[in-house]
Amino acid sequence: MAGLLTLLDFFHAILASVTGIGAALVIGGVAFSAAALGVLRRDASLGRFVSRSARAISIGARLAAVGYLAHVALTIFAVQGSSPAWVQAVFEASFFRSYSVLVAASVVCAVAGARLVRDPRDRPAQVGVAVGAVVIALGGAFTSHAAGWLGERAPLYALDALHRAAAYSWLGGVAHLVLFGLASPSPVEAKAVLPRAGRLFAGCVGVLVAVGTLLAIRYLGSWSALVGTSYGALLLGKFTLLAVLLGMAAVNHRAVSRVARGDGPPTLALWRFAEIEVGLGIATLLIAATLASTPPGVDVGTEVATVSEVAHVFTQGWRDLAAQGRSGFDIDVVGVSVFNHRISGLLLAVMALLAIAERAGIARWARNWPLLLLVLGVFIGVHADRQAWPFGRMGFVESFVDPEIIQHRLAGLLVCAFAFFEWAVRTERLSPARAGLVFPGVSLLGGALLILHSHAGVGIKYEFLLQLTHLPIAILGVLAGASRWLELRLPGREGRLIGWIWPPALLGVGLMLVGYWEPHRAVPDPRDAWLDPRPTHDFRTTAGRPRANTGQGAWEFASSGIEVIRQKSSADAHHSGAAASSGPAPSSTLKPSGARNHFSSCFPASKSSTSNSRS
Amino acid sequence: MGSSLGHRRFVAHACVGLAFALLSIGLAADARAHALLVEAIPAEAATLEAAPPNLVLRFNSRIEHKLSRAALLQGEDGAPQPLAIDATATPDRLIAALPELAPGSYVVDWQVLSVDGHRVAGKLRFQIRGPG
Repeated sequence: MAGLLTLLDFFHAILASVTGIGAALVIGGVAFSAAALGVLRRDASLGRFVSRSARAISIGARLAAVGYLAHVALTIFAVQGSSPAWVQAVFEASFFRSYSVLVAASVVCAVAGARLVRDPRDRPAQVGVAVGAVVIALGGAFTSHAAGWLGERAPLYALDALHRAAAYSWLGGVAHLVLFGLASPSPVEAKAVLPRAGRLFAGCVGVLVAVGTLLAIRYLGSWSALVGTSYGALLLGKFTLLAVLLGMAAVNHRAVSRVARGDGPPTLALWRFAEIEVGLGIATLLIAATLASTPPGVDVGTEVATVSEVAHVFTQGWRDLAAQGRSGFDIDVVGVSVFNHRISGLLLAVMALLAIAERAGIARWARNWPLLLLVLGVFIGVHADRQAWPFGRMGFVESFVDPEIIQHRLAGLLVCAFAFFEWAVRTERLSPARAGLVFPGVSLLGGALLILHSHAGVGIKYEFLLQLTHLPIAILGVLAGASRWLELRLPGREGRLIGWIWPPALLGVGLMLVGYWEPHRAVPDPRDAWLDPRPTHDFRTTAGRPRANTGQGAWEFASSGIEVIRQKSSADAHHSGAAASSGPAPSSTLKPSGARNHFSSCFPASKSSTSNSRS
Repeated sequence: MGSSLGHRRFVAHACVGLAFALLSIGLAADARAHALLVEAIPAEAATLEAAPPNLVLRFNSRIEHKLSRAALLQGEDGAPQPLAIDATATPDRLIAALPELAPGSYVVDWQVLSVDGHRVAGKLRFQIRGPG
């Protein structure tokens, strides 16, 4: 049953992304149709585009409705019960009411959208879609952090709804702009629509930045939480993507101004940039979905990492590598996880250098660099989880109950497929027009995946610092994908210039992985129980991985450098909390407990304290 | 040629599917925790002379009391004994009366639903040593 419930958590997260994309298509479509396609002005001349947008709205609404419904069904299953009191409690629950409203609004949008496909001037359908979109934006706020907030909730509901409306109108609106471009508008039609779309998006961005800042202040609580918590790091990632999006939007704004002045038709670059804006927009929405499941920084309390601790994570690996020399790549010295990261980084760095050599015309044979990617794919798929087959005791089939192992296996497969396509394109076995898009597509998706993967363990400092380096790597991956996409889709000098971004980005990813470092885990990961040799305590009998409430004192930085608590024996760990045994019952809190009397160097000569198997 | 094209198209579609599957699994990772347990009475791994009158779990967000539950087990493999949840507790607390407990090891198996629809579950272990 526990395994089934874990799977439910898993599906909830998938549904959150599905509903986000669906809602963006609906709200963005309504905003774009109303403001840019002239529906508000009752301008019938753009009817064919309204019809096209309405189709996308209807599809998005269906997607959202199915996602919301499935979310309710899974949540009801997760809280299990059958008594009349339980049924009444479900009906009274906040989540049930919020999602019911969202389902109803989505159904209205789907039906009204379908009517607009047939008749774009159908006024009741237009009103239905608009009302449905507003309700989806408002209702979404009631499923956000605002709903669980312990203080005054009304201002947060209002800000969240505004934030959603602005973000979805912009990012979803750009998707509808791409649809408009795909329908081959005439220069006159483009001249009518593009300036209005530009004004809509500029307005949305203004609201988004203003409201987003207010929400960030509320949910972070301090500057230190921006740097020292998962929530803050995700926000920084979101800001980075938004900055890139804004840069592209600014370039497009200039192009749109030219069209508005009548200085010629829209350039190909405008449409291609819009395509990438959609891709980056989806990545931004995924970060937003992750933020919704991450405890706000203000709640993490004493588990906020300092700037120096964060800086240490990024620099210590290189210091160690300088001290270790060649043994820095010895698995027995550095441990499995660091070894995996460093080998992957080395392979990527070599690939990037070869790609640069190929682009610079130094060595034609260097175009075979994707073959190294094949090696990387096999390495990730087989070596990332040594607790599982073929290295550990966990069987091949058995290993598929752990989402993280499945993720690594699929990542390995994906990298192999990616390697094949890119190699075939570079050696002219496949046309770059379509097969070439596998590289940017996978980079964009992989980057987004890594952003989400980065924060699997939320809140506590150890998990945050452990996976901190994944975030900049993910952002570089997304940028590399965007660069390669534009290189392929935008012929000429512009495309070639933009194409120079991805090889250095790939090199950056490789170097960050080579310099990878992680704090040591003092509270064991239950999955390590699958590693050989057999541990004295079988953690499979414990429930879940260490969390904020159980991981107190798991590690510590000392002023003279990083020191961590030595992994305690199960008996030691069991009795360390027994010190205060008389008087009132002690309570455990997020503040690290006092059991911090066992320190050891962070980088001992032996591998004993680097047994973390995660990568 | 047609077959080769079809095969390539299939591979391309498979890759896209695989990418989305990966993405979904990546997304899944974020759902493991949402509401944070910020305080527990009794504390994790505490050893006490006697059981406190109430189990108190405090979270960083509001919870649905009527859809949350807790059970007490004697030892890891004991029979779960459901605890009555106080539906009138403050929004961030799960409070349940604890019975008199004999010396031994106990586990509280709890599950809460935050008001934004996230299920969070966990276990809390403590020991009763008895007086003296």
